Amino acid sequence: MASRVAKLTLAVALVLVAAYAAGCGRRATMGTSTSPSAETSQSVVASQSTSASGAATTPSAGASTSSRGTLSASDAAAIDAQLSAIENQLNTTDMPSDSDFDSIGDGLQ
Amino acid sequence: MISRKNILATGVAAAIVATVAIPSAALALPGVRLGVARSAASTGTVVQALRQRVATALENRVVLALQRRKARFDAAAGRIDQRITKVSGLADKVAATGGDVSAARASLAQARSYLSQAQSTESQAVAAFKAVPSATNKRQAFISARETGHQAGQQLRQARSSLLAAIKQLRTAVAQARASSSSGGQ
Repeated sequence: MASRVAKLTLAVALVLVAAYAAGCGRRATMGTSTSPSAETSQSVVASQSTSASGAATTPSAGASTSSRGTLSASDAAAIDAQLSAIENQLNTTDMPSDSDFDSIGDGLQ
Repeated sequence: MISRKNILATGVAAAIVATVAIPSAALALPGVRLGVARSAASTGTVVQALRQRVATALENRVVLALQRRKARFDAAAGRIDQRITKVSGLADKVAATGGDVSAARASLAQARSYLSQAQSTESQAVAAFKAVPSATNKRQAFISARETGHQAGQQLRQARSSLLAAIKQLRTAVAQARASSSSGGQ
């Protein structure tokens, strides 16, 4: 009788241990499946921001040294068109002037 | 005998004495003095109220002028900032094809620096204008604030000039990259 109870207890314990181990395994799998993608996206963002700032401040860094392709006529024309558009927008930008403060000066008289 | 001449002279003298003495005596009376003081106090209150009104009007003028200025300044600064980013992206593209964009990038860095300076100076100008209504010498405070605002505008113009220079330099880089691509392909 006592040995039957002991066997039953052992069986229940084994089942519980197995269930616990399965739970841990699933959690571990989930962890490995999500964290690398998060890391990847972070590293992508990091590399993007690095390249953007690198391009902004250091002339020698970035694409100019990494890959040397060729510039097609259509690409050159497209870049030139974009530059012209930007130039135009800048030349027509309404800039602040000293007259912005005239009304304050008038109030002092 | 009292002559008619003497009577007339006495009458004139009495009139003169009355003209001078009565108002002086009236002023010497405490009640009359209080009335004068009261009227002086009310004049002071009116003057103070007028001063307050003028100060409030000036404060309102400053607020309105700064609102308009902020809209104008921020729009121009925002546009320059966006175009710096765009030209920088185009410089990356040209660099990827082997073009030398170092000059353009230096001008872009200069444009960013001027833009940052302009924004900082503009903040100082805003603070200086806000202080004008409470300044002892308002005229001088205004002149000084306007000078700071002028500097901010100048720095913003320099940012735009540097960006335009970067565009020119990038065009040259594109032309050179195109020329070398063509000669390499033949």
